[in-house]
Amino acid sequence: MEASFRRYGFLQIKEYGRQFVEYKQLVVNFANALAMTLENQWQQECLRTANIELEKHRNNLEELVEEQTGELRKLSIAVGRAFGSVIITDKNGKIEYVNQAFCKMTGFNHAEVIGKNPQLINSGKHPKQFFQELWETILSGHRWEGEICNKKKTGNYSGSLKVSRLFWMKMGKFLISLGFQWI
Amino acid sequence: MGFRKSKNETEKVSIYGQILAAQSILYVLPTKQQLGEFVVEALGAIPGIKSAGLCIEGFSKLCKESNETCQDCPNLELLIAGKVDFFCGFSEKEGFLVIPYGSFFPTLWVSAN
Repeated sequence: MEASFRRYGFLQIKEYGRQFVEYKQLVVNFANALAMTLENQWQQECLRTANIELEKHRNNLEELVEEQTGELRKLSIAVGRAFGSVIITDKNGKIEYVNQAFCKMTGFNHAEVIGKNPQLINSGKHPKQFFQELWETILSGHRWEGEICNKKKTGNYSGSLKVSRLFWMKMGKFLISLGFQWI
Repeated sequence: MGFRKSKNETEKVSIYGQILAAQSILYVLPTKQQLGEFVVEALGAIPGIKSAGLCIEGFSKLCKESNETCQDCPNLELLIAGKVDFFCGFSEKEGFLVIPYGSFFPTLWVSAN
């Protein structure tokens, strides 16, 4: 932080007498006090302007958040009530969300699958290479479509499900949408 | 007695009081216009000063009893533009004392490196 000199103006004294010389320094001090007052006014003005700008940004942000929250709410309702089962995992493959359809199809409830790996429903009918290719496709940013045979909680095979969509989301989550189609 | 002051001293104290009182009022005046009007009136009323004028960014109040005008003064533009090597034409006039005033204000310098 440094200090710069800001000149505000000039005080003009006309026809000052000898008497004035005695209190000239006081008038100079007076002029400096005037400069400080102007400086304060200027800073207050800057603050006022900055506050108005901040308020404007805050309102814009609030509007944006409200709009996005509305969209998310709609999406959340749509996903939650979708016929197809949906799993959302983090980048390490831990399940963060499953919808009602998933629970209905597999027999697992939310608490049983959150934090677990989708391996939970792995039927073991697919070779390791199958899943390796699947993840490579997703991680390279491409969509994977295919058929996976999954397992229910009871251990019975739930039949072959078509994975209609499996993609990498920008936010670092995997959204796995398992089609409802029985083959 | 020893406490008795001469007329001169009493007047001096009165003037000092006048200036200090005026100074303490500056902080409550909210606009440049009001500040300018007040300063010119307050200083002009002090014995020893015939009249006072003031030049602030965007505002100029000239000495009473003077037909001079600095509204067209090209230097005022320089002042507003923040040039510090500013020169007020009144300082060349006889009978005028020009007191430049300003303040130090903090500036934040940010270096790219």
